[in-house]
Amino acid sequence: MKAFIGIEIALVGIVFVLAIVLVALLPILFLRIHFIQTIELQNKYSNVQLELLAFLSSTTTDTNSLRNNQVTVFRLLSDYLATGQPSSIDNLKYRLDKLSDCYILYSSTNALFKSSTCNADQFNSTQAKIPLPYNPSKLTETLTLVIN
Amino acid sequence: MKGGIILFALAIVAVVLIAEGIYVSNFITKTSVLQIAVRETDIIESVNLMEFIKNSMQQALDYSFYQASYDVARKGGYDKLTIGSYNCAPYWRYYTSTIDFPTNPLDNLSSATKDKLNQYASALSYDISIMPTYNDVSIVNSGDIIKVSAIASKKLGIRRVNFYSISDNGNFSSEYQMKFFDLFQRGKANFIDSDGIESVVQQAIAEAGSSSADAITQKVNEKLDSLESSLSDSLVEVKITDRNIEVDTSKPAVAVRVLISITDNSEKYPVYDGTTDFRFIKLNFYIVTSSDTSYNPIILLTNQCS
Repeated sequence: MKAFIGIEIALVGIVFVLAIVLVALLPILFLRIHFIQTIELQNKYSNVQLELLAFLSSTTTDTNSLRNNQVTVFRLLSDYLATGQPSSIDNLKYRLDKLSDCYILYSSTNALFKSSTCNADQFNSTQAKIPLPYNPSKLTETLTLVIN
Repeated sequence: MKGGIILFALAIVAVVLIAEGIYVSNFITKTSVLQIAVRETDIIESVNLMEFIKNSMQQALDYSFYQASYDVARKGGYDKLTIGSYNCAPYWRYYTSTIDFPTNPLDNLSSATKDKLNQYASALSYDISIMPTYNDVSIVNSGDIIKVSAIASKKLGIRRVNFYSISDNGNFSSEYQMKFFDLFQRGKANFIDSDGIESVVQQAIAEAGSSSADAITQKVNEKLDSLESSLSDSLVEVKITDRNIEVDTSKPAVAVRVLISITDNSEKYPVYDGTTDFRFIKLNFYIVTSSDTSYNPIILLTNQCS
């Protein structure tokens, strides 16, 4: 009889201990998973789209214009892709260098800018259509920015 | 013993209920927070895309206006040439008739800009974007500044079905320092309001006297060259080409057909004319005139404008 009482007390004790431990651990366990998932989600949003927009919206001097107007990078790229003027757009590269260490900016036919230190893979990319000077057979060009 | 087992069973039930309660409440909270995070991220990306589309449409308005100006000027003030023309240049004057002079180049420029802008609006659309059509493009000319405003049929938008939608004003406007209307004014003043070609032909006949046809033709050419120079300045160039000069020495009388090109040399614009390149805006039109109203040997030469 005493042995049964002993076993009963032990079982009840184990259950209470387990319950207390679980009550304490479960929120931490689930919340930790929750935190990780949220952090992963935020990390996946890499700002690549913002980087492309910031690059394209920055302003520069329009060397095609006789008036040397200030225009967006966006406009200069469109003119360059459609007419080949200005003859070089290398002076725009430093703007992307500031935004990312590892990137490639593609047009539909070739790479326009590429980081000198590494090759960006397809880990994160975004696309944007920009208008080209009027041409009935090709009104837009799709730019793709890939960053690591 | 029995009481102990009941106590044990109750404890088990309590533990299970507590665990379930924690799990369910946490799951609901987690799902709700994740949904908010996903929506926030997606909305931020959509706002970015909206700004991007607005920038693109602003630039599309520039390109539409440049191309419309180039085309309408090249076609002597017309958007779609339905009248007699030669190499896409209409006859502003055919002897005494100036019936084909375009009285509404502004409307034609507006219509051409609108057509091109609508093509861009369609080409720049994304799966989730709502692009307006443009029913009206208003153009106001004040001196060398031309203000162009595109009026959208509805707002520009981004829509995620059953999720959210955002919208913004789809109207755009811009100002251009272009001499489009100045070119027209010069053309109208010198070749419609007064017949500048007929005047130089009369001068050439007067100076040549009763010379040979070749001598009169040479004198007319000299006078036309002088007219080119006198009408040109540092920013606007007038060229008189494709000259067809007929001479009747018996009267004497001279009839002339010339292509007048008035070019705005102040700025080149990226436009399409078989290829895309930076080109000046150039107004083209033909003038046919005669020193004698009874001498009309030059027939109206026309071809299809493509």
